[in-house]
Amino acid sequence: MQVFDQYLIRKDSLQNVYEGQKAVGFKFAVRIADYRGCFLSLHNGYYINCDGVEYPREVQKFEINGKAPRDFEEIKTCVWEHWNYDDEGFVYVAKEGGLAPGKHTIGLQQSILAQYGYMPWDEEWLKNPPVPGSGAGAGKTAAICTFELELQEGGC
Amino acid sequence: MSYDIKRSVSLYSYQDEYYDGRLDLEGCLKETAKTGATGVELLAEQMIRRFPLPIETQEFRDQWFGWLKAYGLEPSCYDAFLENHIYDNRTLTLKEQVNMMKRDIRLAALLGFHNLRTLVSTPMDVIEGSLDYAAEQDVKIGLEVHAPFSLNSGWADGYMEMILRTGTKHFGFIPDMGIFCKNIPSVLRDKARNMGAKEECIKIVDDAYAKRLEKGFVKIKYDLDLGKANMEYRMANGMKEMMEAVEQAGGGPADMMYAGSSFTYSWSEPQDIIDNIDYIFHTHAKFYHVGEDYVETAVAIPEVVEAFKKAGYQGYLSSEYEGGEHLRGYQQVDSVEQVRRHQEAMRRAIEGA
Repeated sequence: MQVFDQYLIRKDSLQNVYEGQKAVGFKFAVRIADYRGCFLSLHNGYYINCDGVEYPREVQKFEINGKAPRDFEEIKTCVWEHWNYDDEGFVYVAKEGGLAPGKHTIGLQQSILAQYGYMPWDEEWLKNPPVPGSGAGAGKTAAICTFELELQEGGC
Repeated sequence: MSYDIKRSVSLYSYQDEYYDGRLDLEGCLKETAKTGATGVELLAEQMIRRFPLPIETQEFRDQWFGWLKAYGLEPSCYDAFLENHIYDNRTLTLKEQVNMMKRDIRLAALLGFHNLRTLVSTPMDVIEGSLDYAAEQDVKIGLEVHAPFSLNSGWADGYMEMILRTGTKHFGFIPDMGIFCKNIPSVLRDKARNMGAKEECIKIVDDAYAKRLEKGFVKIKYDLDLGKANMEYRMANGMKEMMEAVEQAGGGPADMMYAGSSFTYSWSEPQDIIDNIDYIFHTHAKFYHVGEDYVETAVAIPEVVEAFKKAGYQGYLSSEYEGGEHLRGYQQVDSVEQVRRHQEAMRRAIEGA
């Protein structure tokens, strides 16, 4: 099922994240890859590969609905909070020093455990929720999508 | 038998325009009205922000009914999703699932809908457990019959047994017209070519589809494990042999995509509509591409509409455009024009002699 894969990342959204003067990671804006919104707890993270380095869920945070970025341990408890179909969220990735200026290659897969029901992996999900990036079944994005992004000035 | 076939638009059709911000909810209703449709189908989780909270407010409902009045539209069907995975450590219990279904029935009723679409994955016990409440709220629960599922199949028999045993008037089937595909949709073929598929492989897949059509599709069985049933269905319809033939012809990712996706379409005899008409109260008029000549490239609209007429159908055919997902990778999607053409194609079939 190919949904909105190519719109996953807003092209001009890659920026470093700072604590004081020090870059502590990077962030980029994402949209939902399904044809509808979802309850936030169904969203169990991303497969992220930036310039050949993988960044697991433990170093990811997600910012949505005007709240401070939350890690996916917290997101999974947000059972009745909705991520609207038309809203952009920000993915934060912890990386000491942030990213160097210039172009970066990001491989991304979004994982949302939304109900559909008759694909071979649906039963498996009940027992083992997919780890993002583990192939078909990790949400509505069937594959890891690759984006070439230029690091933007600024950041926060 | 006298029929009363009305036209509706599922706002699912406008997902690209909504996603891009070209249309908002009111804009979608306005476009729906412009096509001449009198019904509107809604995926609340798609176009109602902060779902489900606004539906609980009088303010939102006043606005919703105000729009319907302004654009001359009637609510035709509410599409619900039973999210079983909202808790990290377990699947929802039966009671929780029934409560979620009741919530959706209540939300549908609040917005004036008398039909609710539930996904094929909805457990039988959840449906049965919600029937009394559905009757109380005057909402019918419709199980979507979407390829690879079909009417007059072992799978459908499982539900027929429940309908006959309970005598319910508040549960039935919502056929998705994707089960009446004479061909693989042209937009999928175009996408495969755009991705670099070989003509030889496309021919293998198209010929295999034609062969399934000629022989008659082997129907899907009833199984609690729908994924397993789906794989058995695919194998029984020759998927393995076809995939091997594509591979032998040197098929790459584009060819494999085309071959695999061809199993998401199917052909049922339109007679299935006539046989099951007592249990059909809403229909997803799925479509993929309607040309300037108002001909759908895959779905046999005239034949299917003819069956609905013969059966004496009293209900909506609700346009559900699903061609955009194949186009958006390489061209601008124009759902508004596609829905306009589809509504005209259906109008001609309904009003024709």
